[in-house]
Amino acid sequence: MKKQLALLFSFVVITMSASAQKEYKLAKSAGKLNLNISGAIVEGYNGNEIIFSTAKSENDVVDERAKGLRVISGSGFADNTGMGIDVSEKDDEINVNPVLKGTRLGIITIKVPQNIKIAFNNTNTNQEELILKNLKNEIEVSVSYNKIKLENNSGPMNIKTLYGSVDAIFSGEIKGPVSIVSVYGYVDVSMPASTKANVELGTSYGNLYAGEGFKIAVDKTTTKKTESDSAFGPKSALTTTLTGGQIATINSINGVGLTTTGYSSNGQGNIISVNSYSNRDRETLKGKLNGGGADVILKSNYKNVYLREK
Amino acid sequence: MNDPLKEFVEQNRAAFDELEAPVFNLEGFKARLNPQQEQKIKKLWPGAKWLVAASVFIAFGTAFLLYRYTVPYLTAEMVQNKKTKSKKVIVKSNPEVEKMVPTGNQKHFAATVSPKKLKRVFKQLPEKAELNELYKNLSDSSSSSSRLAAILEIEKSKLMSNDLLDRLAKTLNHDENSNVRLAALSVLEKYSYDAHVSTMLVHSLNTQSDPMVQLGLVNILGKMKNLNINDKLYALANDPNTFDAVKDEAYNILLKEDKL
Repeated sequence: MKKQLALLFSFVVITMSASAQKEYKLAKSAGKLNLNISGAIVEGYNGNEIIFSTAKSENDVVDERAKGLRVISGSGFADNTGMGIDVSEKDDEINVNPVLKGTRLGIITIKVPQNIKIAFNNTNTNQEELILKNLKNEIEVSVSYNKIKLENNSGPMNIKTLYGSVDAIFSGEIKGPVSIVSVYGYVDVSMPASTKANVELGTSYGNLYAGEGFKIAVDKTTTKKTESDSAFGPKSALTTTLTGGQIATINSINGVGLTTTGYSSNGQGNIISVNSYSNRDRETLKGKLNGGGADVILKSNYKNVYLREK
Repeated sequence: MNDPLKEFVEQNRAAFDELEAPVFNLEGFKARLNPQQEQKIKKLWPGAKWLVAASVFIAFGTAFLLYRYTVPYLTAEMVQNKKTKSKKVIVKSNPEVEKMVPTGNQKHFAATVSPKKLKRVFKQLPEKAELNELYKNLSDSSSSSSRLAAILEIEKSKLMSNDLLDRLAKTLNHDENSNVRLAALSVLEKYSYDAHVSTMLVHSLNTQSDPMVQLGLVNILGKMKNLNINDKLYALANDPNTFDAVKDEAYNILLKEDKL
């Protein structure tokens, strides 16, 4: 019996170690981490090491021909981590660049001390998920295709994606400025209803949505602006007379009108195109939440912007 | 010229004696020689003169251009200082002027200095310390967030000067972060009625490399009726490298105005 148990135990240990993750550690508790890889899960924690790790996925095909060889690249980067990425330190910055290309490079999980700044860049079409969690310093994301998830970060942050969408959850006080913009993806942000912020929501072809709990005091200057813009159409003039959470809903009705006239104008005559002209104006809403505080800018050109309570 | 020739002739007199020399016409020879020399001189010197002239011109030209472009940026803060200082002096002196108003002789003077105008200009110019802080943050290359914060600060303060506008335009065209560029654009948009700003925006449309900002620019400029940017919209729409959404927007505006 004892023998069997020992055997079982050793078996478990062996399988554990076999499936163990590759890991690379770097002692650094401040500075900036520049990530130029296709995707990552970045998680802040209380510590002073940056830990890179990859989980071996099941569909990882081992290239027999590459056995005993190492990846090299003309870019000057060398795989010094054993997981296909180049990690190098320069002054206060840590640069992470891919050496392995494409899908061979799985998702890399990076645990970082919370106060490290993160900059993520990927204009490549190679893209994986990007998740950023529990970070307490600056985040800068500039990508073309990645979907971005932000959880429990304090900000400040600058997030830009052209084709991807952004999901952000704020759970505490927000340090401004927060700017999240997307062209073809939606922007979905949850924050406590008690958050103090100056919000600016904008979309060209989508709609703006806000939770019931948000009382947005719309800035006078912006209403003035819509007035001057509304010289083209009576519909948008409606928005100037309304306040608070109502605005979002009324505007969304406007938005519906926008899309329908937009379609009909393609085949039809002049009058309709005049209508569509008045309605194609961008939708922007500027206002204060709970008296104002951190600056929060949320914009999507083609999809909706959601502001929901957490 | 003569002596070596004579020597040569004397040394080779034997040869001259043997062969029959043709009649040597010295004048003719000189006439033939001199113009050639003159020509040579002419060819050499005018070229060099032109080179010197051109180099001087180029030197002055580059010096002038450098001076033109660097000085405004270098001394912008100094100029700002001067401005604010002078404004402060004027404002300080304002109460004195008001005091002087009752004395009959000064009435005329008080009337000519219109306090309204001065006040307004002063309001438009932010405090110096505040400005320096803003400028510092605006050019903080290490943190895009502090640049963004600086721009939002400018937006909120509602203070504006030409210098600030120029700096914002610089940010709009050269900042590495799209979010920061977009924020600069939204501030500039508010002043787009100004001719200077609108030309800067049109100029930016030519040079803008960020598709998101291009999109915003096309949107804003397309709305302005007094601008003719159709050529630029065509160029954008026909450029294969243009981002799809920007193309759509450009076509959209051209379509609205029945220009397609």
